[in-house]
Amino acid sequence: MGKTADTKKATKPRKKEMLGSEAILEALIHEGVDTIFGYPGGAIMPIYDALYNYKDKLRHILVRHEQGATHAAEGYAKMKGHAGVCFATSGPGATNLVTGIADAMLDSIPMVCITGQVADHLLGMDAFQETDVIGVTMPVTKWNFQITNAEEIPQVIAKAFYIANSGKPGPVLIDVTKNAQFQKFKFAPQEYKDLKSYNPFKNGIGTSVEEAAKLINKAKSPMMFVGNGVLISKAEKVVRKFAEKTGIPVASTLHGLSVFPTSHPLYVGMLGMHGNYGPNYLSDEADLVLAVGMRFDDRVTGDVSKFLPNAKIIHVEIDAAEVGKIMKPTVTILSDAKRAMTQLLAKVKEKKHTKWHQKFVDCYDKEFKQVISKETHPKKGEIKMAEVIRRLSEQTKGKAVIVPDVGQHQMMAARYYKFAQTDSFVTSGGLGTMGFSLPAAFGVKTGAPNRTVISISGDGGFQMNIQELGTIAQENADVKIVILNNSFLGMVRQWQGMFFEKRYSFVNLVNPEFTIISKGYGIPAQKVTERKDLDAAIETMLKYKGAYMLEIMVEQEEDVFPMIPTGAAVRDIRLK
Amino acid sequence: MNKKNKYTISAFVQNSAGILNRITIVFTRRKINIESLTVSETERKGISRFTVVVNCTEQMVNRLQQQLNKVIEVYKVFISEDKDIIFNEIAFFKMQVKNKAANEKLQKIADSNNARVAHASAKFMVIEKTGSKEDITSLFYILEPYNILEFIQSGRIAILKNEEGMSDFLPEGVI
Repeated sequence: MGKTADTKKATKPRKKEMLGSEAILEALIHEGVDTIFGYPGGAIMPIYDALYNYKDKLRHILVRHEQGATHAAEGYAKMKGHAGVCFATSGPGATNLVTGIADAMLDSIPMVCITGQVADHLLGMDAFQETDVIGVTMPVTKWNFQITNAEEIPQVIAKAFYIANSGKPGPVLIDVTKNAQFQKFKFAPQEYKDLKSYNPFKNGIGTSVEEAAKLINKAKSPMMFVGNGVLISKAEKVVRKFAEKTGIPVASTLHGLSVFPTSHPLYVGMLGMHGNYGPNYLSDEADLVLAVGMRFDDRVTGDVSKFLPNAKIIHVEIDAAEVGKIMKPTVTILSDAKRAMTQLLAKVKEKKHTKWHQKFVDCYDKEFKQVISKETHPKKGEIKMAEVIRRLSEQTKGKAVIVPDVGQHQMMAARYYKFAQTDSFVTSGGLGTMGFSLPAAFGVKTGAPNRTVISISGDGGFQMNIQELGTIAQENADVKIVILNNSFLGMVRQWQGMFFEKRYSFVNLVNPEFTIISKGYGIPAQKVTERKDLDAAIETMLKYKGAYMLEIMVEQEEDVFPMIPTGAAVRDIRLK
Repeated sequence: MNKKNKYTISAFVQNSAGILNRITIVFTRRKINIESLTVSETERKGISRFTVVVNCTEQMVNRLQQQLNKVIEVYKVFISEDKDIIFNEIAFFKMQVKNKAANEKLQKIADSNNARVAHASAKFMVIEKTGSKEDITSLFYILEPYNILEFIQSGRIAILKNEEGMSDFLPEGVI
């Protein structure tokens, strides 16, 4: 026994004297970080000074606003599968991160934010640019910590990444006082895999897999719901095999999009408020729902008391706090999706649910006739959002990463892009952050430089982080930017039309000439107002080597259907 | 299902700066008022015990337990109803003492109510009472006519009515 302990000692890294600011960078490099999105300022200047010597090891991307850094880090993390990193200064720099942190919290995106802070003797003194960022971010981070002594750096940075990346991923914020950044000490990187109060791997699966398999083998009209957790744990292949073996129709949440190719015969569409007719309507008839890595968001369930009235639920979930939070499962498999589905795959019987599946096909036909064909293939009138998405989908063969903003166009993108590859839809689903798309698309491109990345925004949301055109231009990032301009805050307008007697209260926008702004940043741009020019314009954009903006004027008062009105049962989904 | 009950939440946490805030925001966010809160170090150094009393539905208290468990610094959370725990509170009554007769009267009240005189001087006296919230309240009403100068009551402390000890649910070497 003593021997193994001794060999461990031998591999301990030698300590090297350095500044706290340098130690932060060394610790990041030790965690495998090579890209940072940030913005300098007074309290983080020692770290930025150290960064000057690390240019060959760490790529720092200067954003135009700290919120842009967070969304870029989110997009980057989504592609890389590990934490994106942001730097910001104290005070306003730190508070500008808050929206992006909250966004990452709700969408389970790993992120580590490092903020500068005033020197420790000034804490609580209302010093210049001092704000209690630990207090401010406590409710929206998975964990946060203030470093006031450089000696804490190795352990805290290691712990930050461990927490951000493991279990249900999430954002972590580390606040570093200026004195700690200037402090000299002996540094050696640390590992952190042993946090006793937090161990996402401790849960045993027990007999839950056997119980689940029994229910699955018996079920007559089962459905599978796939969510974000499938992508996070990279379980898409095993989930697909599972569906093919059991013949269970698969519906996706917004974040589960692209787990299944849209064309897969067992894929029946998206759940939720603007999802497909079939999976929503028929979930009422399901006798079993296998929910994998999803959390029964209210946009999915509608009126919870009327959701899945006839179904037993098997919940595959890594976060124990999600179990029974909304729906009470018959069987819970407390695990990441990959481990659970791999074990489950071995225990289920081969089956086909041909008759049950046909019902989804019939529902799709109904939806196609009443909604989809008119939306995606209009013959006359103004350009429709859905047809733009359809054309984008065709021209990219479903292989682009779609990064929509929030609103009507987001739902249209979710509904009409035909995904052919996994990890192809990055959006703000939980928080619904307008302004997400442009910086997030930049982050996606940074994390996946070989993929075609298309940012799609409305004219409202685009102006919430429009300044990040500067980042994209400076970094020569090949991000395709599509603005679907209806001169309205379209989703709010739709609700005002449907539920507020068409009282259009503060939803019309007088917009700038977006193409001129884009060109001002050196990004070529084109405006499309007529259908006949659409395909050629998309082709030009996609062929162009570099960032390109397409502003497309679309029908002003187009509504997104189907729709489950808020608080209604999913069976009451409306086709018009 | 919507019936509210009194629950005692016992949370074992890593004692660190900010932990009070991390715990209370779980309640604040769900607009659950904390009826009483006691925090103290346990028999093991570095581990503190929160005892929180809330009045809420069973569904909500289960949710609180799940969410508290998510706080990185939290080791273990128990939810108890009054029948499952031994619990008490402590109170001090600072009483005005005008004369010897009053002094004797207050002494007598203390004695007959299982309270004790913790401090006595010429002009005032401090009566200490340990017991349930109801015991303390009833003593309060008895003492009220004698001019209470100051009154303070602690939060609840509670211990589970079972033979388990901390080493059963938090094995040694946890920190």
